[in-house]
Amino acid sequence: MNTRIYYSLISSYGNFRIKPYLKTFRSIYLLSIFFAVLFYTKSLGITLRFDKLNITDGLSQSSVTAIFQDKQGFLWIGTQDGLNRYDGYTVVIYKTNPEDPFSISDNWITCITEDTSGNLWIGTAGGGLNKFDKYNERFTKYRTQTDNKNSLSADRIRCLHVDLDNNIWIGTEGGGLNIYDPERDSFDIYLANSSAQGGFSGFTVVSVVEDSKNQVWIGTDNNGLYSYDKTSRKLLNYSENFKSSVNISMDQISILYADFNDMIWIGTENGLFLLDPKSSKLSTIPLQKEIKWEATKIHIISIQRDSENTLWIGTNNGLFIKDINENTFYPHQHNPRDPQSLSENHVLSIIEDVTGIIWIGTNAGGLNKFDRKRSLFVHFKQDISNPNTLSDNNIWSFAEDIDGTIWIGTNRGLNHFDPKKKIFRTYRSDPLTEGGLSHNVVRALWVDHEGNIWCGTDGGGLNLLDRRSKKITIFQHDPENPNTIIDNRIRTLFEDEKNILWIGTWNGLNAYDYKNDLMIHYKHEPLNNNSLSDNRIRSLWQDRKGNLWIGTYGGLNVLDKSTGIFHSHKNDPLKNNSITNDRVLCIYEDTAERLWIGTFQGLNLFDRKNQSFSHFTVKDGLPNDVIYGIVEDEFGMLWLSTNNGLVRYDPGRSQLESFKNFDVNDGLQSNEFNGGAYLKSKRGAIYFGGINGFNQFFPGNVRENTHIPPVVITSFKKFDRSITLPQSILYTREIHLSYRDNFFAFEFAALDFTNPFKNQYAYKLEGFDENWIECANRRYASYTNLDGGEYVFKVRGSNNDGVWNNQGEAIRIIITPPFWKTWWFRILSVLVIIAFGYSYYRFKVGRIEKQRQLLKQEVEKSTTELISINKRLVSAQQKTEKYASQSRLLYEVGQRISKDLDLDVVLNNAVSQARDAFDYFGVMLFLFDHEREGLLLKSIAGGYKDVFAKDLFIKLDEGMIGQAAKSRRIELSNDVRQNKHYIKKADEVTLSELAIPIIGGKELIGVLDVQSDQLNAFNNSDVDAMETFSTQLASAIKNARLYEQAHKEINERRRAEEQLRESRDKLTAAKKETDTIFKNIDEGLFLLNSNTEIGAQYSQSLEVIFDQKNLNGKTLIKILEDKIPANTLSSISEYIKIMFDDSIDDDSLNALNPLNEIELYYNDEGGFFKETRFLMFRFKRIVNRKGKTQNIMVSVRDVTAQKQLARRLEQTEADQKKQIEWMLSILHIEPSLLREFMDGAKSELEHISKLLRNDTNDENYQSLLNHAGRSMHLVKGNASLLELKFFEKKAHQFEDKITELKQLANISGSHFIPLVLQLEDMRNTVKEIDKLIDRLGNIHNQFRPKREFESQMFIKSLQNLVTNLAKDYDKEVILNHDEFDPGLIPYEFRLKVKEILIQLIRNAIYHGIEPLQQRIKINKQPHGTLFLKSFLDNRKLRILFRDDGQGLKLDQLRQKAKQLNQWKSAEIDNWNDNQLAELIFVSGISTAENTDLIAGRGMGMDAVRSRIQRIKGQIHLKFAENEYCEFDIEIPITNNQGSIKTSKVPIHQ
Amino acid sequence: MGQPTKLMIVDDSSIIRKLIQNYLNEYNIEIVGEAGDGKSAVELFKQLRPDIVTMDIVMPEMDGLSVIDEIRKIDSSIKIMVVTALSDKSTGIEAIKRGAKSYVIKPFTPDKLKHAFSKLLQ
Repeated sequence: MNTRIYYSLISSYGNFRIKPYLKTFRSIYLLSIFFAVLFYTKSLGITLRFDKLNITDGLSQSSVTAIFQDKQGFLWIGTQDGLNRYDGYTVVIYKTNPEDPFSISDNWITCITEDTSGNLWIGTAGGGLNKFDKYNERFTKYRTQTDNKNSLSADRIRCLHVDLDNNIWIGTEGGGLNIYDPERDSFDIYLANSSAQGGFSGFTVVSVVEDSKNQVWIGTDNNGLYSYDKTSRKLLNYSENFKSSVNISMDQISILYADFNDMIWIGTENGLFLLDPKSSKLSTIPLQKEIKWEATKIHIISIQRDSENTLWIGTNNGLFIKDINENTFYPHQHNPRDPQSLSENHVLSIIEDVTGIIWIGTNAGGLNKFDRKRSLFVHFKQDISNPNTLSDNNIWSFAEDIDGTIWIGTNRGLNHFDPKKKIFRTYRSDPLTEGGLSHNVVRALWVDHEGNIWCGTDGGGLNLLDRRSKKITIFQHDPENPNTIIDNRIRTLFEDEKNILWIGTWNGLNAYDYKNDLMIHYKHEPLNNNSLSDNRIRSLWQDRKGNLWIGTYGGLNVLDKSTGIFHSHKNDPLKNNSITNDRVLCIYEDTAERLWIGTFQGLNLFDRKNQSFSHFTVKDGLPNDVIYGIVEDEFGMLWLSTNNGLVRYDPGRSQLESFKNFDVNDGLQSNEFNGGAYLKSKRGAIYFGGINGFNQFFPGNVRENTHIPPVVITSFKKFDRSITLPQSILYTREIHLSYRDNFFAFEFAALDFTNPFKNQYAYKLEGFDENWIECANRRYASYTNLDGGEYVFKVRGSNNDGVWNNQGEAIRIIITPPFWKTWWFRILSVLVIIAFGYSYYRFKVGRIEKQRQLLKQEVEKSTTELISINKRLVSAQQKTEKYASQSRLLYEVGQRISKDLDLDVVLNNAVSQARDAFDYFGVMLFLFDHEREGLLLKSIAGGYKDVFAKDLFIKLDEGMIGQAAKSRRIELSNDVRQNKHYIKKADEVTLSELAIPIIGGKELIGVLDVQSDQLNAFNNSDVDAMETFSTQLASAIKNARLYEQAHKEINERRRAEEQLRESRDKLTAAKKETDTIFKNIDEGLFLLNSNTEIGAQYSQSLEVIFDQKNLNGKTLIKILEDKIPANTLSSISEYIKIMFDDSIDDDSLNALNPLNEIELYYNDEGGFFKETRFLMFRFKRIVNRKGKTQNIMVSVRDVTAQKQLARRLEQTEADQKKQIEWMLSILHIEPSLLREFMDGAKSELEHISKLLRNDTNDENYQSLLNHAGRSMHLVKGNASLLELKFFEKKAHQFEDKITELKQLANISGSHFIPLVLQLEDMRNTVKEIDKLIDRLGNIHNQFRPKREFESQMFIKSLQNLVTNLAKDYDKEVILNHDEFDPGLIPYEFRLKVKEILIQLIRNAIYHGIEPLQQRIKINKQPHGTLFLKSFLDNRKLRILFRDDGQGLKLDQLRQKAKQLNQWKSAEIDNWNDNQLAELIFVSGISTAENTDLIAGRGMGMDAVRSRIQRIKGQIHLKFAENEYCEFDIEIPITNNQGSIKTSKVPIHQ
Repeated sequence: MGQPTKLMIVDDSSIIRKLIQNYLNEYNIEIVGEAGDGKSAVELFKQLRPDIVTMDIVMPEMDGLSVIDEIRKIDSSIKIMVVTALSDKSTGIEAIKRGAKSYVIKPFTPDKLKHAFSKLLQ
């Protein structure tokens, strides 16, 4: 049984259990009216949302009295303080200016209109009438002139009208009606009489309209309506006709409006009337049924019917709107809570512009803009002050009820929405009372086939709202019961045709057969490929084939319900056609059975056949990749909600046009939508929910902006300043500029006000720009540094929906070039440049210069030749009369061709001129081709011009021409048929031919060939003339060739110069950059050349790092020399050498870098050590083009700070390690012993310190060393006893040093320094351990032992010592202490006694007890025994210590004594046994062969004796060789120590 | 593939020798010989005449520097790659001075070794 909790419901259906928000019927009613108006105008299907234009946007004043759109498309806005021209972006203000005779006459504008010639007419409230000439941007004023009957009758203008004849109808205040005829420039006055004073007095005409039948209607503000028939020219008081039929006065007219069917709307101060002129029927039109208009006295101010047939009535109390099919007006008023409502209720003016936008001018509220195209989306949101709105703005889910109402799940409760009445009711969970929802976050909704509402919550499980019983049933997860829902966090619901409810949760899927109460769970099973791919379910969809699609956060799944097998699709980065993302937010099958999947990364279209996905992402035009919801509308379009607005996707259109994006500016609740919150109702309304409420819309209402916007150029600026043109920029077609105006800009606008910031532009300056520049929504273009010449600036624009005006606008720009760009200056400057380039390069191109000189000479020479030839010719001319004229011609030809320098021109001219001059049949010129060793046809005139191939080639001995060339002699034949050389090259008619070789100097240049179709055509004079001509040609050709060559060289030189300058500029720029870098970086940067010298360029930090100035040219080694040890330096210098060895690779070099991190020692100026620095060097080889290392770039950084930090860190770590080591050693020691040791060690070290400070005035260093050694030995012994290894080691090192010193012959004070240092170290150690102990104090105190325990410890420590030492020396030793009672020892002596015993035990084990083998050999017990006994003997404490070892080796003692050199050898020989035994108390005597930590320094027994002496005791020695050695210690006890005796406690282990 | 490059590995550690071999086996090379000490390295070199030698510095019998001297006497164009654990850079510099062309510090990564080796192959 699943967990079901039943609740009874309080109220009837529709109010399952709602809080009593709605108290009375009345309040519901009022609210519904209010909201209908605020959010939705039912009949219009539009939401009234107004954009605002006000003084903050540039408007001159906030009371908009008149609005007018001119033919160009500008919006003219009249205010009480200035005239404004608006282009969608900026406002241009026109105001009166007393200094400008062409300014407007008054700032208070009352009306605006435009005549057929494009002049604007502006009526003012006191300044008469203005005509604005847009071309010249000038106002012409028309005012009352008392002496002129044909002038304006009054200066207060109320209305304007332009009729078809271009007459201006002017309604005045108190001056009647004026009709102005521009042709006559005269005013005719009606409805007014001239007064005696010279002016007029008459009616106030407030409105003039003309209907389609040319009937003019004139409204007055106190005398009713007049009509004027233009044909009969009759003015009629129309009010008279129905004065009796209407019971309300309509005399006070404020506005007239002629409707499309010639019905006249009459707005008055008392309300609205409609006149049907056909029937003369006048009816009153109530604006609001509910409110009696007489009572409220609504003043009608403006009337406008828009292109959608909606009538807009502007009043002093808001707007009233009526559709043509409706009878009711819908009011709209300013709502302080809704920033998108009308800005002010007092409406002054209304117009519709060409795009269908309604502009509403208000009193003090600026301009309001309503655009039906952008009012598609109705927005519902929570209004906290109104309970009859959404309960929360975060929308999660929708479901449509069977009655057409909508259920809405939010973050705070379930809402029930009636789309007809726009009423919301809320259901919530309430912890205080029973009943209600189980949870407030409603993530999923489903209305089942019986109309019950299933409501999935986020954490509270499933709620069932039963339609009939009005009860809520709650289904929740019960871990104990498998027949409950799988998880309480529900995300999506779906009921299939078998009435199985599929429940997608955050932790698996349920199939719930609610009829039979059977729950099946589906979960992801890691090892089962046929299970769900993920447990986080986000969406469910059943396709037409009955497959259930499950969108999870881990892939798309499809369930085959017959088998229960899940098949999953996941993103595979390696597969292009896998799903784009594993997080599937929504699934939708459209009417074409295409399956669409919305994911976190785009839209996917699933191809079932190929099991592949096509992708649609931001790249394809989506505004965002997160697809929350997909809904198909009845036109086959898909609507997608995203994180960045809504998208309408047309799958039928090509990629580029298929997406239309809507954003918050279009009326969306927000750009961010929510997953799961989408619905298409049966009526076709689409719902999308997001984070700020939800949108409802009918897709059929979407309108595109098809208006082709006019494009205007609104400003022209030079150097960023607007300039005054002879006429308005709008009419300017050509602008002349000087080359100095090298920065100019245009601003332009596409006049479409729908969403000007989405208007797009493209422009092009013809003559400069090759292509159109697509500048998106930028609306200016600027140009700089144009060359002189003619250009055309063209601009195109589009509206917000991308409808382009391809015609656009254009202006011609003519730029006068500067004088240096005129032709004469160019020539001059070429000469100057050549001259300059010449001198500049002379030193570099000496060779070329020489050649040029030669060329020049040659040119001169050949010109001289030419002249002399010409001179000869002149003389020849004098001789031969016959050819006089021909010779002149020839001369002229010669002159001309020798002047011309272009070779082709020269030759072509020469040949054709020769032919013309001599009237030959044909002339040909061949040039000698060195490479091909033959003659190439160069020019041809007459004769065979079209017969011979252009590239005719003749071998050197071919035909007459070839012969002439080869022999370099003239070939003449007056009958070619007889000539053996003659050959036919084509179909020729030649009968005579003359071939003349052209020779220049010694060189064959070519052949001039003259042909004739006559026999005997050439005589001697022909030969002479042609020979002369060929000589001239030779010179001309040579000149031309020289010129070409010179020209080429000059060009080359100029190019070289250009390149040089470019690279020099680049170098300069690069240098500047490096200079900056070098100045500012912290690193030292420099270049090393192969001599390891530092280059001139280095960063300034380098001097700081090296502590040296002027590093240029110094070698790196030199700089490092005094800072680095010599051996390191040498390897550095080797290293730098190696770096120039290109066979070594960079990695090896880096690995070898000896300067990677190096310590440098810096001295001060006086050469004394100043500081240590650590530098880090990095080397980089600079390789030239050939791959050879030329320089090394070095970067060096001062890393001292880092290094020091690292060292400190190391030190700290070491200290810590040491302390831990100590602590560990200390911890195992019994605290009292430790304390004892510390006290002892302190006093001993103090003692040594005193000795070393020479406080004892002991002059004998040897004895001083002995004393110090003794003390340290004791300390060492104690440390060893307590196993304080580290301390023992230190003590041992100290002893080592003493031993070392003792062996020196001459000891001086300075030798003690290491000892002092070592001692200091030990004292510090003791202090630190002290501190450590203090820190451990508490722990230690807890263990502070009782006295008996102390006694036990005394023995135990001795026993430990015995055990340890025996082990160390590989001996078997036991300590017998049965008769020893440490309690007998007075406390203050205890440490001393212990020290003594330690030393005795040490000596006994080391020296006394024999090794095991030896003992066995001499029949001793294998283990040695140490016997310890204590007793009181007559105020003395006696302690006996005996070992059963080898006793004393007297011989060895004697030998040692001799070695000491303290006594005479003979003396020693005479000593008895006791005297010899005494030696063991002498420092320096030791019988051990090796020195080690424990014994063998001869520094034990003397310490024992001095210790006993210090406590005023005695020690006696007894021994027997190979048997025993016994020490008897006597310590005197004073009275006050007697108490100790009483505390005596027998000690047992 | 042309003639394989003949490589000889000199290192007293057989593991290192194996490692070098493994890392470099992707190149077109033939390991002609291995030596574990300086003396046998020189002997082997005389017989095998490899194109490239990898050389340890610290070795028994004869140190790497001396080996470099010896084999360079035999073939002055031999390409030597020093592979050493020595952190003393001056020895490394000395090796280069004596004619080694490449220097790799142990322990090395495959990439490091390969990089140095391919440089050497060029």
